[in-house]
Amino acid sequence: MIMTSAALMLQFLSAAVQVVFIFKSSRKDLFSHFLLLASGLLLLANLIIRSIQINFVAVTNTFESLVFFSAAIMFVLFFMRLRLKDKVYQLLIFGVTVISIALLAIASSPIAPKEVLEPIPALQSNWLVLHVTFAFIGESFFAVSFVAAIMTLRAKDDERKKLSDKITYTSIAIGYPIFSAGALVFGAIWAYYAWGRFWGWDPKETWALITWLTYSVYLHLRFIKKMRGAVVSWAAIIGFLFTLFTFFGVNFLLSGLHSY
Amino acid sequence: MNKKKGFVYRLPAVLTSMKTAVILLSIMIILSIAGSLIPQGKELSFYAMKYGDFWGGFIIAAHLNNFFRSWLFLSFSALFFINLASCSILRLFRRLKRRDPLRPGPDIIHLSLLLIIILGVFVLFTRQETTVMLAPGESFTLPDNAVIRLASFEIEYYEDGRPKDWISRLELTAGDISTESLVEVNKPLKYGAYRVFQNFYDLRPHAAVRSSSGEYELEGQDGLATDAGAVYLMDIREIDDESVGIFFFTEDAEDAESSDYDELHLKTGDEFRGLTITDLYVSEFSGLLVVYQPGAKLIIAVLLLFCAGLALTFYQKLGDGLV
Repeated sequence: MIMTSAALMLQFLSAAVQVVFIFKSSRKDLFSHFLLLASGLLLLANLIIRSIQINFVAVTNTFESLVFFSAAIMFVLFFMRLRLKDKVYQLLIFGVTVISIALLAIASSPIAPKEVLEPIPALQSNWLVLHVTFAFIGESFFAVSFVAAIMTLRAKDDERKKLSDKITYTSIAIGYPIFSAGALVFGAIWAYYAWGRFWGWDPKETWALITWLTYSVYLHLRFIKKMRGAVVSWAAIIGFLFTLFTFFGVNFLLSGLHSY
Repeated sequence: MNKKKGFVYRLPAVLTSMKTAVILLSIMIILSIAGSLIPQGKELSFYAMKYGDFWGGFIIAAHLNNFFRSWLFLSFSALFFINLASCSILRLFRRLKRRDPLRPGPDIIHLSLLLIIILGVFVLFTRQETTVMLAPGESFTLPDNAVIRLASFEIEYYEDGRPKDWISRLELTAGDISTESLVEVNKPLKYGAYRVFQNFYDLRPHAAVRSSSGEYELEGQDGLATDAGAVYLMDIREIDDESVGIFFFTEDAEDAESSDYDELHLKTGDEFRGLTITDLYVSEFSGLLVVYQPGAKLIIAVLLLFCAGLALTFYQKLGDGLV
């Protein structure tokens, strides 16, 4: 828990530094992304320690999955920041950092029990590990696409609009195959070994499919010339809102077989 | 007349258009959301209680209680399949005709999606399942007369008392051949198109009691009427390394449900109200899910083919510099 709190503090600190440089347009931020990297490494270390304690990969409850999700976002942001030098990306990185802070805040809240517990029998599967990790890595790219899509809608000049739109597409183009493999394919194979069926229209499964269909719509909309622009950006935004609903909304509003 | 002819001529173009694909995908999203909001596969009375008589009746009449097998969902799924198939075939032919460079990634994705839908329909019509609960030594017979016997069953616990694993040792006898396998959660027994999954377990408390009128066996919440009231066995727990039976004892033997009850904790040898506990033990039952599903390996292969298509598409886009 101390490590998670420290990681959260680092993200707050990084966000504060980012804000300063967003308004100080003359200077370049050479520091904040290293704070994000440190935060990601702390979260990863926390998961490794928990994994040793439970003798299994620690992605088997809400707390651990949120920590993994946040760590994945941190690494994605760090490598994005290394590759993309343009000033416009600072606002994007700030927006995604805020999402990660929100995820860690939820992880720190009472709705995510923090006990270190060994997994129940159904969760003791390598397919589950692939299912959860791939799904969250994919979703961390969706978080980037969400902020980039909002920036596309709000951009005043064409150049910024194009740039944000390209980031939206790139993030989804990377996240979509990883998410598809994790959430749908590995999830279906795990479900088969754990429950004896590949697909059962459990609310979590259905919402993962809804999320996947939404991003499929996004990718196909880009082929239709008339539909490019705001509609495409809205598809990316709705896609991430569905991603969040699949994770949080289904747990609290709909009952099913998934424990988190 | 011209309009009709026009529509017929336009039909292939409509079926293979990207716009149709997007519209159908959007409809599938809306239908899936609707299906996820209505609890599926419940008793008919559940819907009347939850939504009232009118809406409960409507849900049943429109098959919304089994939404993903309803004509509404299946007909749009069929349209989506036709669109996907025609788009994929047309695109492949166009590319072959133009002799475009080989880009098999999206084709593999679309082909595997088509196969997944076909296999999904195949599963819908061929899959059969049943659950069996066996005590060690008991057996069940598969439709092809193979016999599966539970040789032993073990429940492993973590230190905090939560279940760690459930392990059934199963003996499968098919004809003259007999084999033994361990079945655990996530590790099913494979036999032809059958899979036997370790699905659940059950613990049943047993108590043997003696009274002036004879000896009785009580099993998991069984009741026994005595002159002084009714006795119910509720549970058996290990307390200080000793088995303790948890009994409910009501004052009214005639009307146990409306009567107040006392909770009694008793060990072997204890006496109460004319009864003597002669034995307390818990029997373990293995809950097995027996699934008949031809083509399970093929389904896994197609799912992995889908992954390969995704990876290949991504690799191609990397080459294009789009990612």
